[in-house]
Amino acid sequence: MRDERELGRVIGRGVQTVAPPSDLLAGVTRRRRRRARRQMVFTAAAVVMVVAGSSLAFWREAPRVGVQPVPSVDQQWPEAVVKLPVSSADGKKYRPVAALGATRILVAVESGVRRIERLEIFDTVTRSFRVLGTTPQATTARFEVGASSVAWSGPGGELWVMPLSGGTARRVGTARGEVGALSVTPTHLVWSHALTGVYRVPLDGGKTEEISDSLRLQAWPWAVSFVDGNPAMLHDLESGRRIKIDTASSSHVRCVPRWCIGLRSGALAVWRPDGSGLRFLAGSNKIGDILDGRFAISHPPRESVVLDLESGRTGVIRASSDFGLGWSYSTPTVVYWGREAGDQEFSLLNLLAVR
Amino acid sequence: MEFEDFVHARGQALLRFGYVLTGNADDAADLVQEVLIKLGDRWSRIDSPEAYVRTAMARQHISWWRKRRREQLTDLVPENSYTHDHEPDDLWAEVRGLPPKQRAVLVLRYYEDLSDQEIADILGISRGTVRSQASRALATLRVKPSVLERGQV
Repeated sequence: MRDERELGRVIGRGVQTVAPPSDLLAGVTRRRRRRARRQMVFTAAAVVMVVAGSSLAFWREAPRVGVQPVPSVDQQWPEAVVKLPVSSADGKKYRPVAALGATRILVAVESGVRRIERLEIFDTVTRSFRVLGTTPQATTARFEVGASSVAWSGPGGELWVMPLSGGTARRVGTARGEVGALSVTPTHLVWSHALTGVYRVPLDGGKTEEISDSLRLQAWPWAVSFVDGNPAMLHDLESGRRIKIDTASSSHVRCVPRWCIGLRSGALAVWRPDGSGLRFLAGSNKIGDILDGRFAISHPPRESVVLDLESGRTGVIRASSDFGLGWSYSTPTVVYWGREAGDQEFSLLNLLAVR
Repeated sequence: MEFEDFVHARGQALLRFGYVLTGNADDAADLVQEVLIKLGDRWSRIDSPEAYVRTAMARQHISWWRKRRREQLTDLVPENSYTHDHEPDDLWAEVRGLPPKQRAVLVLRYYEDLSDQEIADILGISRGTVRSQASRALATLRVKPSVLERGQV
């Protein structure tokens, strides 16, 4: 039997991880034209939504692909799989956010459904937690880790940072609404909303400025441009470098600088943005994602397959209960699973610990 | 705030809300677009656009579902078979497979944190119906209810 808290988490997580279809812009445009023809008076323009870059691509009806016998992630990467306690000493649930290194995991502490009370760091060697600080206005929205600070946004677009060494959270500015992509640079917070437009504010506070009105932040310094609602080009906002995205014969494409993931001929595949290095993931997949810019993962409901795109090594996660990715805006660095009712611990794959 | 600013700021959140209501991204996009087009027409007369949009989306969603049900009576799948296509542990897939009204009640309860009375007002149904829909959904999902009714001490 499950409980309501689990249900609340599942709904909240499901919502947070959904990326609407990439042809939304085309759909809106078509409907606006139809409506404009029907109703000359309607002029509510700008119902133009380009939504991409959530942590997951989601699709239905993906065909099953033959499953090869592969070792479990515990067998393939024993150095990288750890057990974490389900709850804190004061009885609150831990939610993995991101790996800070091979032996340190940033975790959020839930004080209720959709409420995050504080951040802690788990040391996988000593198996001890250290409180980083309390997190005003943090909901189950994601966090983003920079070189020396962690950032998040409140429900009204409030932008917060906290030193990774611990301390008091500091509000550095306010975005125009819900933040859909967030990066921390050495000097600024950079973000996008659901639509195109990249903005930044100094970490010390100050004036918000728009860096681009036609791109959407992917993860600093990378941003994406769209054509007809599909990702078309990766742009390096620092160097000006551009990478054209090959989306031929594919749909539901998401790209990080070095890899794209999406459906090719109806199967989950990864490839370089230029189209080279095409590989298909084994397993029956509806969802896939790129982890740590180097791994591809297919998601439950059935087994989840993790593929190291550099070494070609593969591991499988067979438990699908409470499966989740780290709650970071940029490419996740941890995967967790197996948190059953009554269990004291759950499993976590730290991709920064993979040798 | 201008209409375009509202769409800009809240578009993604509304799409997510639409997704949980409808269970798939295409219907979510249709739902959001439909309601935003109506909102645009009435923008100057609406005090609380966020509440307006969410209420309109929940109602529109159920309205569409009723219409489709009338049109596709022969294709109806019995409610108790909704979960059969999914792995037993995949709660999210099971939520997505719930009948629309039950899913709407769960979303408003557990995602929007609304009381049963608020849900009843939004969906235009009685509080008793909210409770019975929630109860059936929780039973289908094998979730143990910890409280009988939200919004009451």
